[in-house]
Amino acid sequence: MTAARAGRAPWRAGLARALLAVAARLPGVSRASWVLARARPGVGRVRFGSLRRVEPLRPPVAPLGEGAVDRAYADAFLRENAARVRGRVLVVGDLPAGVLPASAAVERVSPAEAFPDSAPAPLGEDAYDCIVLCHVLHAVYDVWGAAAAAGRALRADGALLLTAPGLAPMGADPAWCWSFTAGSVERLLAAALPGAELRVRSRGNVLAAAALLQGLPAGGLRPAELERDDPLYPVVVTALAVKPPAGRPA
Amino acid sequence: MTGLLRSLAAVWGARGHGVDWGDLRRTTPVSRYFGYDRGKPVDRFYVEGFLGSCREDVRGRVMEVGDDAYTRRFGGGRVTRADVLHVHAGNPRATLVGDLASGDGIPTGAFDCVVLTQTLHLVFDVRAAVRTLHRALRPGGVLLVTVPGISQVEQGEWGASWCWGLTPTSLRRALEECFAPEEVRVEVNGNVLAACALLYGVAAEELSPVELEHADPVYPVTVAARARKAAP
Repeated sequence: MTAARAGRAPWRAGLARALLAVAARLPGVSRASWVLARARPGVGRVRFGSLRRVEPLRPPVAPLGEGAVDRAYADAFLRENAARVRGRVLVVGDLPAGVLPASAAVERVSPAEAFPDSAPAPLGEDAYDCIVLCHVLHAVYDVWGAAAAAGRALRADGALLLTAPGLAPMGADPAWCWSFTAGSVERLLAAALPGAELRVRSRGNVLAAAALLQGLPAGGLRPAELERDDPLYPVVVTALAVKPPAGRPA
Repeated sequence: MTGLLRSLAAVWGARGHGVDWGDLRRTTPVSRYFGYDRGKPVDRFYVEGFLGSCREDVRGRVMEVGDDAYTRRFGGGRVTRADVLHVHAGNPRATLVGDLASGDGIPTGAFDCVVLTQTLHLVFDVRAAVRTLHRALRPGGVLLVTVPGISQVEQGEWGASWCWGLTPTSLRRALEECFAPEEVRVEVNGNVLAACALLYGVAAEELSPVELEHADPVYPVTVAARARKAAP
């Protein structure tokens, strides 16, 4: 492929890209990176650098691992919505300590207890003011039933805080069933909590996804790289759903 | 000259935890069309590899979604009738207009083979779609299905209905709700490099066959299954 394109003086394009690559990384000119983003390498000319190997750079980490890209998005979401974590709170799964406000009286259950495989979910009805499901539903086969059970267990005006993986090393856990999009999370919650106020957001972009797949920490990316959301690359889907007050027609 | 500048750029790029990202330190992909504008998308390489391995099943009356390209290519002379299913009326190639989730418009016990590539993830109620597919097959008929695992979402109409990435675990469980477990065979393709190539829109031709065929189940790029409806 290189030979076939030799007539197009490939060194010029290479030179331009290399100069742009250097320029984009100089302090104070990081905005020049948009130029780099537009420079699309020709077919067969994409340099993968250290990523040109069939093994990840670091072993895959569990969902929401310390310092990982998905954790950065989940932490930011929980910080934003910390005020919703109040009253009787249910946390499904082992959410890392320190993320939730210390004041909240938190009950914790494992995903297997909350959403048993072949029995109705034991969460009850109108029981909680807040339910936190952070990277839990991907490992529940009956994700539709689990979302519905969480919706029933929530009190009126109660909040469901949910994060779910969209792009991740899914095969690292044999129980992993699904990855999500903003669309599927919205449909799950709209069905589980009719009439609820929903705020669904897709976080991440292709670079953040690649970093997560390669086991690279969020700290290796610049804040601007981490913060750019490209809806076609849902690394993490976050959702806040507030159950309508009692009596309000759904 | 270029080499020197590239090395220089690599050194700058390596500041982030010793990783040289090459051209991939970018928050926009190289192609927004899965690499269709550069060659064959990586997921289609796996889909076609799977269908090639199951070509003997593509025979008799066959239903495919969207068009009948794979039916013709892999079934050839074994195909007696090729049906094309489309979810909306008005598609000139469609012989059937129907909905996999509701089952409306899809005949019962009609097909010797259903070829369903990269479609099931667009259906919110995956389990209902599997029931429809099982119902549509003749006894002894075969469903050849592929779904994305790790993949970006498509732009436009199909992107809006894109719901899931699946794993061998979920595809097998969904199929086994209708098909006998011993009649379901599931395989998984991809590795971290293939996954990154697909995400960035780098085409299959830009990787080597060895790189594409290395199977690392931690990174399911496509999941494929052959499920046979029990003969009476």
